[in-house]
Amino acid sequence: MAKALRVVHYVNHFFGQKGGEAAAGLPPEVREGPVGPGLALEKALEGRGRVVATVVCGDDHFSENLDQVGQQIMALIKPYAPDLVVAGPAYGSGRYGMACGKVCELAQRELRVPAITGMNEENPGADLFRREALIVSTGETARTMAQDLGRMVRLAEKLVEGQELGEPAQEGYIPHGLRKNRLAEWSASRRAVDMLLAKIGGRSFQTELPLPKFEPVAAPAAIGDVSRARIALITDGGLVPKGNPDRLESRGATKWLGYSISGRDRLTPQEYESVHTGFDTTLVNQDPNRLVPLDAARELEQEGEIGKLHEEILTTTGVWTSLANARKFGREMAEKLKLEHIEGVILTST
Amino acid sequence: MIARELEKAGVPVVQLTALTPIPNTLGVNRVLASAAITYPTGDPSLPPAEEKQVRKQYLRKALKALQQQVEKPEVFY
Amino acid sequence: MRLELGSFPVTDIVFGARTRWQDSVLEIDARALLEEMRSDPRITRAELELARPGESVRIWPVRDAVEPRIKVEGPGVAYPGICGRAIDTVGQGRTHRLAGMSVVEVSEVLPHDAGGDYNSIFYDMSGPWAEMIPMSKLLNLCLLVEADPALTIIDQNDAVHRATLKLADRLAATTVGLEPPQREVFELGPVDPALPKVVYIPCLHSAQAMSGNGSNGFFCTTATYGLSMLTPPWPMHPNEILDGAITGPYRIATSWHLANNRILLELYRRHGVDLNFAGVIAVRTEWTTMEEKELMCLQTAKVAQMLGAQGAIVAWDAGGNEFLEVVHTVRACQRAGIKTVLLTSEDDPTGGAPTLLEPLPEADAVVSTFIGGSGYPGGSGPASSQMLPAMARVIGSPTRLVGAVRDEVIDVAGPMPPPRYNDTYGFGRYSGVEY
Repeated sequence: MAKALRVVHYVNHFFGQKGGEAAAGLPPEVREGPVGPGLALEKALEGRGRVVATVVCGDDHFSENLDQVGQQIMALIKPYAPDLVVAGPAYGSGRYGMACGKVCELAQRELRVPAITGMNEENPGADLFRREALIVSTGETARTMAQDLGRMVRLAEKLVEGQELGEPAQEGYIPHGLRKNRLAEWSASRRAVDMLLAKIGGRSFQTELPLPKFEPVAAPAAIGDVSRARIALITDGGLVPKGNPDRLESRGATKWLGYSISGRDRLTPQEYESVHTGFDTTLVNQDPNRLVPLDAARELEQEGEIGKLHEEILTTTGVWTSLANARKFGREMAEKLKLEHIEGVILTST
Repeated sequence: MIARELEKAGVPVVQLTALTPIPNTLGVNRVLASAAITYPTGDPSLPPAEEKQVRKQYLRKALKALQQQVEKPEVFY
Repeated sequence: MRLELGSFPVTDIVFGARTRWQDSVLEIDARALLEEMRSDPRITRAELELARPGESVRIWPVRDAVEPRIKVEGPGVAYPGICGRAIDTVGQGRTHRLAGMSVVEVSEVLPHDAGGDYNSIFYDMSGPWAEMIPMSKLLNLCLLVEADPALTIIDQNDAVHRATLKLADRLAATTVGLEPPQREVFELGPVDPALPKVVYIPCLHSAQAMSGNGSNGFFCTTATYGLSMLTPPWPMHPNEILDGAITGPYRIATSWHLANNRILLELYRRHGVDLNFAGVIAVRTEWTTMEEKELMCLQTAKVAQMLGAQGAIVAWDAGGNEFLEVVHTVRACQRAGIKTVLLTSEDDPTGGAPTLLEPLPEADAVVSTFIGGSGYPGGSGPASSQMLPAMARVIGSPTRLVGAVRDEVIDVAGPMPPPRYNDTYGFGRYSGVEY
């Protein structure tokens, strides 16, 4: 490397030598040169770079206003025109971990500067920011600071040079949770047979696709009395008005739509259809109430078993829809339904 | 995933599907088994009036599920 | 069951005055062959074009690719059952194949007219997409074939695929009476009883659930002895598959891939070496109720047990809710004490793997053949952002309908997003890795 790297370091109130918990509410400030672990960071750079400035901020102050304080910190960093931003490492500290994650995320996105941090895998900041931030996996305490900074610097240098990183386990970073393709040594068929023989023989093997884990979601409290509740009908079966005027995708949906059912007591095949591509839509298109049970719901409403039917059906297509989009649709629908004081949802899926 | 997000936001939801394992393993708390992928709320073998009664039964089960307190993902039948 | 497979390498294809194989060159009398195709009154177009590896050529739309194979000894015909062919049990005697080439069925005819299942597969003969697929390394004799649009979709399918098979038959027939330059014998002979017994469980998508309940079982998609309907688990000898007992056009699972199935060949070639290949159980997917799905999975595990399996490789050729049959088969086998490996592709670089649909803990041994749902796996970035380069020549249709609601027309020769492609039969070396 011809030119010494200009590094800006982010640390919290404690490592920034502002004091203990009493200093956790301090706003961000910038200091010239290294502070605290910044000295070890500079040592780890072995002359290939220097810490030109250090930003220090109280953990409570930052974690309570992540976005706003993050932007303030970017404004403090920007004048130093760094080649690299290093945050932490934060080890097991949750608030510090969130701060470091946010600094890295923003430095990359807003300042377009490579950034790296380190923390323990159990740190909530890792869960929140691993997708965007490069996070070196560390222990829970600062005892290994010098080695950890050394590992961070080695990885950061690859980042600055635009080198492709190896696999997480081998490079020592927390996986972003993204997938990419790699040429393996052997064909998939041979790998499958090898893996099977290892499994049968009780030898160790490594799955190429670890199972995803879903955090449990607490069940919302039951509705006390549906005969007085506002209930909405939702479907991911691709229901649209005939002719699909809003161009809902038949697979890989990028949007959801709301259609008024005000004044209707059933869905007629003349007016509605499904554009879903994952199943044979013939039966649903003969009678769309087989997908969204409006006719039955209206009767239950008239008979007093449902308090009030929401006057809008929400719809999207749930086939080859990316996880990110599905989550987004769910959040947006929830927001809208809460505004309309909907107390319960019946979601019909194909 | 839609149902998960609704639940995260605190909106009680019951998901009707023939493929109950999918929402169930995703952690959707109230799942109601429906007949088939190609007709979640219906039964094409019946005359229309009777089919509507079947549909009402599905809805009554769905409403019942919404009124039931659950602690962990459950499949209603 | 003993099958000898005689390979006749094809290193060049030339159009000439007669149809014959000689010294690895296939000479084709195109006029005579095409006349035969056109003698079927249902056929409205039949033309031949040749695509060679390395050429700047895009073939669109590809419905199927067929390796010319012919039975010269033993009962039955290659690719039995489909399009009205004989249904005698195959897998014995001697079969000849033309190696290194395929007959590509290039046609706008859709597999069926329900469920929005459009043609989506194309082959590039050079460039990054060609790197990915085994078809681009072959001499591809393209049959541009269309049927009378006034016919039912079932008849149109029958007409164009029958023409493809007829052409493949005529080409394979050039080897009758000749000594194959390469031979390989396939037989599941007795082996060291200490070797673990292993079965292969290919999960085959059935278009029945998508193509309308009224269609008959001989629908022209991936078919077992001609049957493409939803059928219970079907035990098979691997030799039957080498004779094309599972065949037919559907998405990426072409007849060529099925007959050259690499997982099957891998297991076969290791039979007696480090395993005991106990057979194949072909499982149909996309049943429409959970009960049916679960029943098929439990029955599959039962058949595997009856075959004495200690291990199973489960693979599938589709995406979506069919994964339930696949992963429940894994679970049923595991619960029956059969160790199982699942081979699958991935859909989405942001983590949309099929296992998301139902991440059963029994699927703890997975081989990933790559992330191909929305892109090809060249380079290191998210695949979906990459476009395939323009090609100088298009074989087939010059335009294509794209877009969410298929109302945009694009020039097929121009830059194209890669098609959805799963390496169902384990040809490639790619693997999805986390980063």
